[in-house]
Amino acid sequence: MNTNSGKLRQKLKFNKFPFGVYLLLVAVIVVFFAATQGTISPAHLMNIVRQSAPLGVAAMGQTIVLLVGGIDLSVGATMSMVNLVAASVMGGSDAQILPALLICMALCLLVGLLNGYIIATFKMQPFLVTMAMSMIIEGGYYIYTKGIAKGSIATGIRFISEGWIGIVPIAAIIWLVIWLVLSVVLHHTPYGHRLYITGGNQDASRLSGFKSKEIVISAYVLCSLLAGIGGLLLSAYIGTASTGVGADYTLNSIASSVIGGTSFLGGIGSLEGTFPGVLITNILQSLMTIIGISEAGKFITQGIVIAVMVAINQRKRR
Amino acid sequence: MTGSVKKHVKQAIPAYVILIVIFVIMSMVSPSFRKIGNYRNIVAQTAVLAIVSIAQCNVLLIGGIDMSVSSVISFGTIAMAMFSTKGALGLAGSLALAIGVGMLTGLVNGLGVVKFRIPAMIITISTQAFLKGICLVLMPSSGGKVNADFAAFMKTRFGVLNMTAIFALILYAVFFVIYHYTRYGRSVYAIGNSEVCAEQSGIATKKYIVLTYVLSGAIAGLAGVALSARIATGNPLVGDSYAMNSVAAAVVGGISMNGGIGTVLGTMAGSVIMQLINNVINNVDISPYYQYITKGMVLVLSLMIFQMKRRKRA
Repeated sequence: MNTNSGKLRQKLKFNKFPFGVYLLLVAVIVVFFAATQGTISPAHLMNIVRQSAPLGVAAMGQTIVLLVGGIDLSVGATMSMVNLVAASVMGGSDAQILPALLICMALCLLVGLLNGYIIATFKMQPFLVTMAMSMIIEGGYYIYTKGIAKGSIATGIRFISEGWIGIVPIAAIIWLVIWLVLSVVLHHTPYGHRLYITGGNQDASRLSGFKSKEIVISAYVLCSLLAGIGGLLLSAYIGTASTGVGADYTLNSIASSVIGGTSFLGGIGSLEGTFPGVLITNILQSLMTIIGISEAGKFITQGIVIAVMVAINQRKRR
Repeated sequence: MTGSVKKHVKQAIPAYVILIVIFVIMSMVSPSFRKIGNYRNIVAQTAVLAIVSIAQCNVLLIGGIDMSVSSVISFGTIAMAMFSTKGALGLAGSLALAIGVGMLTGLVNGLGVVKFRIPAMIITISTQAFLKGICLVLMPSSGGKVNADFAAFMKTRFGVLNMTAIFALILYAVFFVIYHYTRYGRSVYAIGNSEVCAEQSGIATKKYIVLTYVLSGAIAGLAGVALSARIATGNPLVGDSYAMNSVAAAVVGGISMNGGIGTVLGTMAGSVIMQLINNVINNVDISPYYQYITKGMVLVLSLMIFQMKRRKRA
């Protein structure tokens, strides 16, 4: 009996799949239903999933950067930038959708390349570089818009956040497909393994013959592109241009990743943990809205969640 | 001056050179920059950033970082605006509240770093977010009133300087002495250079790290009080830009992000440079939005330069 439970424990401990986070998610959902005293239907829960899609996609990017031992504090600014650029280029017309998408993705690519190149080449602190980058992006879009957000999202693309297939929102399908693809890449390709190993020990992986610099850069590029897709989902959801819509997403994406068990030291964590992490973050913040402190509550949950989860992750490792 | 002090002070020289160059060029180019009123403005605007930058400098020297200063400053203005004119606390009580909350935040940061081994960046971002939430609960938008006598006192002018600037200068003098001529200061440099070596040499590293974060919180609280005298109301978001600007001020002033290198004297020049960026942009009629891009680039470039210099030496 004793050895049996020991074996089970060991199996759970060394299994990559983060069961604990899913249990936490169930607990949070139960608390959510209890707090709302049944006034909220399961359909409402699907709506929360739909609203979570932008964060879900952006948080996967954050997780990948955390896996290589970095951090990206420019996620929020990138999402705001995509919102403003997409809205102003589209100007509500369906004909402009393709150029708008291309311009947005090109800008995200540039942001990611700059972040990654500066961090990997000069061995600088990722949080400072990406934070400075987020200031530069913000300055850039303030200059571009002169402080007044203009334009609107074309109706032809709004289905990605507004559409439903049966009871499943299209945004959720996009989120899940990206998750599936990235998960296969991370777990079943040489690139994915190198990403984990580089995060575990950058110098060792370089000495083993991996191009660790290129892998770090690719992680930042992936993160910015995913933030861009998240920004598009968000734009399709709100439908207009508005300055600073992405502001909350930087800390929320970090919170979601660390809830899912991703470590700040690199090499530990998975997208399977980030998925429930995103839902937990969003449900907690919905709870704060129900209590009546949505704006303040957002910051309070972010603060507590990040501090507590990181403390737990650090403790587990010892 | 002993040898080690000289070595640290040398790190500050580039910042002063940059500062003088900006001053000379701007004085030649822009007539509105040369006015005595503008100098007064620069001093008044810089004083608060200069005070926070001391806090940031402390923590950077020990090899950490403190992003929570921004919310501590916002809380300072709120404490002053809510309690300094009415209620039981009075002026002294609200001063103590502002500084006390700063110290408490610092204590949480320090214990998080030392006891739970949370990276400094992460724990201070968490406390920043948490305290910002508290500020927004207390005061959803700017309001309240700061004690008028206190505000007037802090604005008393002595030539180009005002009272806040004089406080800032005194703080710099005090911290220069603390860092270069006391045991605490030497321990901080030792810990910043190598925590393991410091611990093995018998320095109570954990105690000093927690103490440094608490000190940083206290100074940030003071900065909040100083800012409240300038804006005369409380504002839950007014401190936001100070976290980033204080880091930039310290880095431009020659403090290494890896700890143990630099001096508060450089930080003083760094904070003036960061504030001058705004002033210069206003005086040469560029859109104020360029300040974000300029500040971001100044930070990245100065980090790059220091990083390359270090590598050459290594």
